[in-house]
Amino acid sequence: MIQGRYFDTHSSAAGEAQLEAGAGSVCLQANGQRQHFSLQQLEISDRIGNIPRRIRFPDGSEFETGDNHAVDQLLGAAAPRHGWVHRLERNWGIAVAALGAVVAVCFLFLRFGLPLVAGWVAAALPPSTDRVIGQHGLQILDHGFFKASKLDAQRQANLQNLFSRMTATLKDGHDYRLELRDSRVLGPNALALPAGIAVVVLGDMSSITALASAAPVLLQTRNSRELEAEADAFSRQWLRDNHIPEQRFDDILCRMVDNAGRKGAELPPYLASHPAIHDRAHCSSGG
Amino acid sequence: MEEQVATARELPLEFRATGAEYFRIWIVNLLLTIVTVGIYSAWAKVRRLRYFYGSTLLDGTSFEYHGKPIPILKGRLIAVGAYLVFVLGGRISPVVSLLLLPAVLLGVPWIIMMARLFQTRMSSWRGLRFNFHGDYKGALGAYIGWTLLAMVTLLILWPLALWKQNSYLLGNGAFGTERFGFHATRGQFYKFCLVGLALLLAAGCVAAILMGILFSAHPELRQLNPNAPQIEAAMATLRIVGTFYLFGGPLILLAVAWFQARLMDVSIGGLTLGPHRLFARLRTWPLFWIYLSNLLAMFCTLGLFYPWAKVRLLRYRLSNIGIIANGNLDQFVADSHIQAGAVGEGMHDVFDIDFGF
Repeated sequence: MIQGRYFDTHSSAAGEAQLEAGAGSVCLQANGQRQHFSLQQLEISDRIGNIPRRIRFPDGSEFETGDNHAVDQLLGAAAPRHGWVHRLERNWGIAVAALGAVVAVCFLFLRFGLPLVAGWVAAALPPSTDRVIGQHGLQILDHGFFKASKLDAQRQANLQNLFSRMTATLKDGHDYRLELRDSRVLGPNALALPAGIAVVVLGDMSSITALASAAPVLLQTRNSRELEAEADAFSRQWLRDNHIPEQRFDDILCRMVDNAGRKGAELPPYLASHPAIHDRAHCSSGG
Repeated sequence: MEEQVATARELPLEFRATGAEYFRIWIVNLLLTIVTVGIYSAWAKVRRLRYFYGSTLLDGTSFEYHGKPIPILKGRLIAVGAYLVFVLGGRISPVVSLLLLPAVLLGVPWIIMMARLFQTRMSSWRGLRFNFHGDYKGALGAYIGWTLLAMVTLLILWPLALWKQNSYLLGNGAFGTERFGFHATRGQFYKFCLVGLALLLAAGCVAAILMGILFSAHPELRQLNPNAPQIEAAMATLRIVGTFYLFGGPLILLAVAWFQARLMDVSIGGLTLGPHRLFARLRTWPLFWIYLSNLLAMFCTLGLFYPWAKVRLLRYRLSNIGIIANGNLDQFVADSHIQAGAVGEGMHDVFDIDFGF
């Protein structure tokens, strides 16, 4: 016997009512009348939490009860798949597992999905977009981080000449351009922007510490550090191909370490967007 | 009169949802939505609303939400399509956006009307559906006409626009065949809008004074080197703005809590349904405390507190709303049921227009 209330859906009147469960059928007692229905005729609402259940009869009228347990029993054998979502929601273990799964999916998306999508987008963009992004990127950097290089015109022309000689041998369809800058914030550094723009930052060594204050910008550094290792390998190969001693590369990196060391400012590996320089170069003791 | 007072019963809403129960519904919804790439979100919405409606009781009977997932899903797809047309159209040419703007201005009132219609018709109590009789002209006037007027008059007419909008949403409602009456006055709206504005200004002033005291004690906080590159200037600005919010944030939140409590008290308290009267008795300090502690708890738990936060806020709001029943609540009669399309409702969700409650 399930206790509840009966609504005729013609008015807002509510009357006490009982529902008696038989084998595959129910008997409704409401408004002094007894009516029989088979289970197939009834529309029984899904269980959610502990909210009252509603049983709707063919004429649209409703029986409402807070006795969830009795309704579940009534349904039990007749509809074994009824309320599978509630069975997930009822269980704390499943809730905790679902939470773990949500966190895992988010992590996997950030770790693998996003780079994958970024790769697709990059491959789909036409070279003109590349140029626009590169140009805008440089403008933004010029505005926020860079000053004009302090090198004299003669030295700059020399470097430009060297750069074009070097890139002339790379026949990969890019139009490479060298931009020389100075920066208090970034210190000595080199950046590659889309559309073959290479920015070499000469600057004094004083402000690698300032980079630490820009750490939030560098949160997505894992991938860029892997790229850097790849770039190192490429540089060494290029030097070998052009019969220039590989030691030159190590020397430059080691000079940067020394400079930074004097200011006592080598960054911890994860904050630096560059692999720890000692992992990259074989420094002689003198530097 | 004496007789009526004797038979009047005060029936507040009772809210039985618990954070622990809703957490499990929420997390299962979230996971299934992610796994189905968003398709389950329509089912999730139905489950969430059925849970909250079913947990809200008036005079011992719960409310019921009748929305069905498939129409909601269709509505969402149409809404996403419309949104994409607008965004991509703007990409192709600004002229397209310009042409679409009047369409949006004329479309928004329609969406609001449809959403409200769907929302009310999909709700029932004691087997009787709610209904909405607002028409398009009314929505256009209240949401576009009066909003433009408020802007042109530098917000002097804004309380009146707010009154119009509440009057449209609430005053056009019906339970069965019985229409709600909206009796809140324009004067009441002007009064709490003005006091709200004064409170907001006062909150801003107090925050500025507190910040001034802090900065004179710690001059290094406001250091701003004119020769510094932009990134450093930006950091310094961020520090100053952050400090302002640290002091001003809670004060502004307090003003918002006051405003929200008064808005609900006046607009819901001004409603009648047949011989019955509705009431709302929200108080500022408990509401403020719920807002503030919810924000802090969500911040500390990376958003995991959300289900509890939602239930706490709903419980406070709902249990301070109710009806003063003059006689019994049995005499309402059903209106002939009309099917409501779910497009309006879906649109409302995607564009996230938040109105009233």
